Amino acid sequence: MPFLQPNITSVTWTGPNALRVRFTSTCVGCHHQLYIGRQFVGETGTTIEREIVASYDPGDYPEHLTILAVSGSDVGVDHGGKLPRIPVARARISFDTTGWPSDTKIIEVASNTAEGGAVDDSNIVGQIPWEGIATYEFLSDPREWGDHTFRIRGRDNRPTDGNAGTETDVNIATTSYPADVQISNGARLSVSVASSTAEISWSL
Amino acid sequence: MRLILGDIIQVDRPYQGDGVSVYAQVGTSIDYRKPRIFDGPPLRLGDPDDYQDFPSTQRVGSESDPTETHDFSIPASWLPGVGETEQVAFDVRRFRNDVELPSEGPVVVEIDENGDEVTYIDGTAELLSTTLLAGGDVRLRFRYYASDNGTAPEEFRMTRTSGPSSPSDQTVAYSSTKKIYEITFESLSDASAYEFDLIAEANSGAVTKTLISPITFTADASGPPAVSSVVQEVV
Repeated sequence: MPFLQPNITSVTWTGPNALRVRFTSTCVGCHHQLYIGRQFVGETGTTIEREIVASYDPGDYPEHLTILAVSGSDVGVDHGGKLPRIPVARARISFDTTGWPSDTKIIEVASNTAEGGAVDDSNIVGQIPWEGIATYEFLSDPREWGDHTFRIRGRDNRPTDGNAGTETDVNIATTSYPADVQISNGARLSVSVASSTAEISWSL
Repeated sequence: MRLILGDIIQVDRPYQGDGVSVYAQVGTSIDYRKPRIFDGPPLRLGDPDDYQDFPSTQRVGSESDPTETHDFSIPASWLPGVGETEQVAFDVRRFRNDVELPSEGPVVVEIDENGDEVTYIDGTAELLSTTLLAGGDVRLRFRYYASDNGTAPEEFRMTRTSGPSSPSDQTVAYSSTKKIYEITFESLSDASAYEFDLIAEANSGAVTKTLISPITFTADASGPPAVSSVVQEVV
């Protein structure tokens, strides 16, 4: 049974693509899991650890961090689907390549550039090397609120760019947070006050 | 006992469309609207306050995109008494399609009884070292922690508050890219206790803030005494 009780006390970038999350928890004998959005990204190795480092590619659209306390039997189990209904910004698509020929080289994912738009075939958002018939998974970057279409197809190894295979379109609706206001000189907004009127300014 | 229903129909929709919420509150922090949980929390065990759908917040207005400015009239009840000042915190949060981004980073402004902004320095400083040099010289190093609030200082002034001699004030200019500063006093009186204050100044000295008080040390301007028990002989 997972619990949401732990409190995150600090989140630090330890590199361009790595987050360190520290937390407190009163759950004795529990392991702890870290989720970004609904994505299960890290877990403590022992029950006394209160820190998880996970890889994370930052994007324009903020995502929730959640720490779950779980019992020993739930170690390694993904509880992302049980989290409260929070805004989530990424698409995760899994598919298999049954019947693909052996000269396949790569799986390519293209998508729309703006919410609700048509797929732009030149907007390649993912390339997965083909390593035989199997189930593959694609995880998108954080995207703005709205409808997104991902076009998945294979390419074979013929020079120069290979023959494109049959495409499959997948539609996904994200419920993302909006991007934050821009930071300027360390502040998110500026305020000036005169005669009881405050003028508050920000940059989108 | 508090029951939480699974399917609550939300009537109030303050975050429809695209825009920015504006928050303002007396003090240095803000009570934000709690994130809403629409369909009942299957796991939530946190603060019961999180479940309140319409808590009292300090959201004082909103603007739709792409507007990037908002004018807010400060209520008369927020103004301080004559001769006093009051701090007011402001913040903005973006929202879209009924979801508000819970990022925060308030800016605090100080106002007077007329509702005008008061210039003040909000940064703090820490004394790193006091080094006694030969000749009664003393080198003081400090670190300045700048703040997002208030105004930036123009310079730092070190001034004597007690001690046997009267060295001139020493100043060092503020730089937004510099964190550690150094000030040296020369030729202070030997074996004498001094006290100094470190003051940040802005608006040509019209706005000041005492950052560290007092800084105490005893200068050393003399070497060892002459040798004694001198015996002279010819060998």
